[in-house]
Amino acid sequence: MRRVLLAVVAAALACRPSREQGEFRLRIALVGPFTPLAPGAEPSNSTYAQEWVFEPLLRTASDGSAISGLAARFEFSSPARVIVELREGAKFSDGSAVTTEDVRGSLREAGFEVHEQPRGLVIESPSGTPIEPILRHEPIYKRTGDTYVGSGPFRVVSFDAERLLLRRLVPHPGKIDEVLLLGFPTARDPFARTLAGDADLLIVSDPKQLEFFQGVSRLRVIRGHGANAIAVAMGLNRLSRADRTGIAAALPVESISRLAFGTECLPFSAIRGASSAALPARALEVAVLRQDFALEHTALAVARTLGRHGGDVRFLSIADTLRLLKSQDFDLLLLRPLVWPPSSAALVWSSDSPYNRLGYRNSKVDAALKAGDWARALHALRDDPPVAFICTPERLAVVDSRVKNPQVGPYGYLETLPDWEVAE
Amino acid sequence: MARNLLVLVAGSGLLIALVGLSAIVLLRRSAERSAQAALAVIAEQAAARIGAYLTHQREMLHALTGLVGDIPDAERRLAQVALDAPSLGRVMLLTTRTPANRLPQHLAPADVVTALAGQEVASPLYFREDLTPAIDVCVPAGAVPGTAVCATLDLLELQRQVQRIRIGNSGFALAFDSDGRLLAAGHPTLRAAVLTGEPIAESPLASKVSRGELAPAEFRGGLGEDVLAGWARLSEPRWTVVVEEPTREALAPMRKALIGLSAVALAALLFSVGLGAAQSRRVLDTLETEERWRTAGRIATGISHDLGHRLAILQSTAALAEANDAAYLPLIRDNLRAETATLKKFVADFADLSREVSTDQFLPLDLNAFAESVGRTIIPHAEKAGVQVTVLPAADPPWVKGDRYLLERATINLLSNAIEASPPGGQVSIEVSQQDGVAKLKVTDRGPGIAQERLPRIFDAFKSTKRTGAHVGMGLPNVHRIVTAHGGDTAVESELGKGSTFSIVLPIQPKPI
Repeated sequence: MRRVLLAVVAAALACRPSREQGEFRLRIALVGPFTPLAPGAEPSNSTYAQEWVFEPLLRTASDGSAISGLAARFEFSSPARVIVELREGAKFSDGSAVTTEDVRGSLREAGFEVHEQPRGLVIESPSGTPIEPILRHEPIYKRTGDTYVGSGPFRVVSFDAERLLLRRLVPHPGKIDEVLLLGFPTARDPFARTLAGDADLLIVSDPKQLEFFQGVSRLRVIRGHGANAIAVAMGLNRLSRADRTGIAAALPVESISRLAFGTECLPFSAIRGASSAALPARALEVAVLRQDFALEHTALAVARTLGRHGGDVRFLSIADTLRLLKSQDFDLLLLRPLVWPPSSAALVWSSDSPYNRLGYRNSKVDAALKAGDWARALHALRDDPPVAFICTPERLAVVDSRVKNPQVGPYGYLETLPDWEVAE
Repeated sequence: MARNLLVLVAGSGLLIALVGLSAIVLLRRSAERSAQAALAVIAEQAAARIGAYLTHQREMLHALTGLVGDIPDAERRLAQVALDAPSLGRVMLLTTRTPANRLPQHLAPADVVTALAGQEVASPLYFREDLTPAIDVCVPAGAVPGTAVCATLDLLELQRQVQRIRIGNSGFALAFDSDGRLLAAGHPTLRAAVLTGEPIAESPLASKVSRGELAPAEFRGGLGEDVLAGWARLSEPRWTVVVEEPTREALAPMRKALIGLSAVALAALLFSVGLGAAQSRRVLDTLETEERWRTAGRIATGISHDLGHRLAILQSTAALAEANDAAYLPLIRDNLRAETATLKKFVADFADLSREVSTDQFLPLDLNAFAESVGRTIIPHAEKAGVQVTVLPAADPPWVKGDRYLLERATINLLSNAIEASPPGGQVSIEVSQQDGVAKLKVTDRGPGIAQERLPRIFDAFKSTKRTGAHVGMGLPNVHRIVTAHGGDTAVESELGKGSTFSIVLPIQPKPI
């Protein structure tokens, strides 16, 4: 009798749907290995996962403005000081509550001070650096031993150099339950595996690559606002302010954009120099990183449109490019600086910003950035331009058609993934 | 007759079926050939377009060699060409002084030497940093020996051209290089192999076509489905293009036509069989009616002949009686007695004919006992004719099932015939036996026998061999009718001068408990 009862129970259990049944796992194909998920680590494939495991205090709206993240409410008393109120009941994935100490620890690296007040947490930058752009991407975390936990909707289930598996903390019907990031050795592999149906999402770096997905009904193309512009940096050690102003004014942005990209890159028109400035008398050498066809073509277009002022196009290795950036000993150099959201200017052009890789220094720009006046900062940049912005390519990805509302951006490439809904 | 008609109808149906089947096979082959020819035409067109594209790119490169003269300026101007002709990718001047790190990356050193020596060279397909499929091509600058113009030829256009080809709902095109490597794929699933370089099912076939060999026009494609295909080859480079369509889809219109044709053939077959059956039934009915009339005619002939003969004897006897001569009395008496007996038997035979055999009335019958009973019944008649009747029972009495009265009438009929056929002093035997599940009752006489040519129709009605006596030819047909109604059969063996044996064969039954 007991055996019969056990058999019946076993049969009943066998008939129940497994936990895996009906769950949606999104597989993302990437190039390169994964590193341990750690806030502040060098950017890698794992950075994509960071957006879903950790939360910043602020997020970015589609118009580029700051909105609530882990901070339910925030109020800037100055660009360098903000009072935030954490989301009620905010917890890390290990179940512990997010504390002031956690916020303080997370922002220590950025050099911010955090202290409690009756109205909330006060965060300020002693150096006066605008803190809003930092708060948009600095994750709040808690370190437990060698690992970090965040308050995002996903947690890391397993990790190695080739695979990173994340699982949603609280099941949410109709949304992605698991995300599996797959790292492949060459750039071709993610494309091949996505086409073969072994992956459901692929980040596409060049619009031409979309040709491979023509007629693939399983996948859909998503586009978003580009965060990096194509720009011509002007060597600060070789070119005077007047030279740079003259060059920026002389460059026909739309023509260059059309020559290099056709219609695939939105021409930039935010910074234009004074039209009366003169160009340097000599032919300007245009340097560009080899292996980036988009930049190569832009360099050729810049050289052509400068006419007799356009010199040879010099193709560089990555090492040479980095060396030139550091020395600023070049005439013109093609780059992809961060331009979105607008507050990112504070990261890129502020004199004391670690992200200011050109070493650009301009007190008027610094003052405008510290005041949080991005428009004034851009105006100041126009008067003393370190770069001439050409255009902003879109961010592109192909994703499984079962995902109903995928989108790229508006800040992190796939930051909205936790909100994506999937068809039954 | 019915069987012949059935064979005739079936034969005509088979003929229609064969004609229909042949038409179906012919239609299928014709449809296959037609679809393959159409695919081959599309493949040729695609190959021609790809060839034209490559030729155009080469011509542009050749035209660019005209820029080569003042080398420093030429390099700059050549580099700028990429903006106006993006399909040429990177355009550069190759000279003997070009540093190693500036050489086209995918050309072998020997190819570089060949290009500088004045011959056009091309690399295998590779993928650029932006994943655009490309080949490095160098064409010599004839005006300046030792120089060549090289370009990174963008083959994305090849991919576009191949992807644009759509055949029906799921037909597509593929392009291969001379080694069978997939260069471009119209089907998304196979496109992964373009990037990985992995061979697909069509790869070895493409290599064959590239070598000038014939490839099959029907095979299992890279998607695991049977396809019809058309192949085409570019002359230079020796690339191949195949345009394929799943067989099920390519032959779908033919299948529809086949279904229609099959329906028509089936309808024709049914109509033919139906018409044949109706006609056959009508013919059979007519024949049956005619046979009935013939039978009735035969009966009437027999009856009128026999009764006429009897009537003549009776008329003669009446004439003798009218003579009032006492001397004729014995003759008159004998005649009347004989004719009365004959007419009595005549009536009895007809009575037997009218009696239906009903299986409901069948009862188990010990054939040994039955034979002895019948033997005893016939003895007075036999003795009158001076014939001795002997019953030879079987060692193990066989049991049968039947209407005892009718079986007795049949057996007595055979015995009467045997006695009449025997000379005075002759012997008639009734022998019972069993073998192979049947019981046999054999009646044998030592009379004059029956001619062999009469034996096959001896059980037919009105075929008596003794029409002159009290026989109208109804006895043996009646015996046969009775025995076959019992599930048995009759048989006869005879030899002139030696006698005859008539057999009644009945299915043996288990002895009742």
